[in-house]
Amino acid sequence: MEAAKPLARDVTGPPAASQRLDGTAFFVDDLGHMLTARHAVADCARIVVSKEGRAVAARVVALAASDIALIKVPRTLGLAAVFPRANTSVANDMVFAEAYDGLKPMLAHGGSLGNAFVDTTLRDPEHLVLRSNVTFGTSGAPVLDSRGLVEGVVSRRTTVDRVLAVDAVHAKSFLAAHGVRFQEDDRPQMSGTASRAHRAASISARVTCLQQ
Amino acid sequence: MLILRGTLALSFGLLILSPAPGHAQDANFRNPEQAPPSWAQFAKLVKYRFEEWIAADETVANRFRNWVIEHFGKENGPPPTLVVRAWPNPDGTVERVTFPALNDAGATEDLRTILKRGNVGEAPPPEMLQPLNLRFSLNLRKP
Repeated sequence: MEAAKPLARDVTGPPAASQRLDGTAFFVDDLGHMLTARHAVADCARIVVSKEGRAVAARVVALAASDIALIKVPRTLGLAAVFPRANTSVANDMVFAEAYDGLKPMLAHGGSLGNAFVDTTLRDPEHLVLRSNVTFGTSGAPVLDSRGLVEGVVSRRTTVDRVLAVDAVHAKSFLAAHGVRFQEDDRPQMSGTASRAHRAASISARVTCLQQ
Repeated sequence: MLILRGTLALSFGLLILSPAPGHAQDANFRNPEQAPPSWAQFAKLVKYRFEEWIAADETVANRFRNWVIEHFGKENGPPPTLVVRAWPNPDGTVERVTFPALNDAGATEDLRTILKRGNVGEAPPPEMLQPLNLRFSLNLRKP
């Protein structure tokens, strides 16, 4: 069995260059708060959020015991995510999760309804288990269900096609504990035929951890 | 530097700026409270894009903002609120926008150019009533 691998992309350059780690983060309110993976933003000298050609500095607000973190930029760039009120993911539900940097080529080809499935054969009290082949840079990405609601936050890969995401219950609890007023709804936030890749692009951004 | 930031109220469908009590039942019009969440999400995205396009650091947007700054509060200046009607295309581009003419033909044309210049980033929900009626407050705030 393959060891669990964080999905932040290590883009370390030559020794003289700064060490960089790229992940994904997404907006959770209209005030610039974002959720991402803890391992993508822990121990950074600087954090930069990049979206659509714009780069802004971010600061860590809180690190959770699980692999999620709350960061903040001056204002929300795009849409804020909406979470489900009830935890409703079932086996084989098709969901969407992708690194921010992986979205652009998808959008150029018309988008995507889904690229992963919920796997309930492996029980985990805190995580959503996905069958997915997402790779580096996806750490912290939102897991969108068919309604466009965020069911989890991508954490790490456990086998070649299994990915763990911190589930929405824990993510919401973490946000509430830090006073973030996030949106909840069980109704669809997008039409049934709309591309989840496009919604992911609207709510997420690249998060870069500069370690030196 | 000052940037222009709109605050916004919205509705969907044929022009109703101040809906009369019975209008909520009109099949061609929805108040935001009665609209599906998918419509409201798309409208929020349009609002964000319009604000970004107006605030962009490029020639037309800079010229429009300068006109607003120079004429704000004057008789021939911009109105305190502006209702923009927008018809988005299925590919996320903006097909058409209409709004009451400003007191300057150049500023009117600049704003029309700005609001049609980009892609919203998502397709409008196919069943969403059009146009989107967006009411902007033309406030000047420091970034």
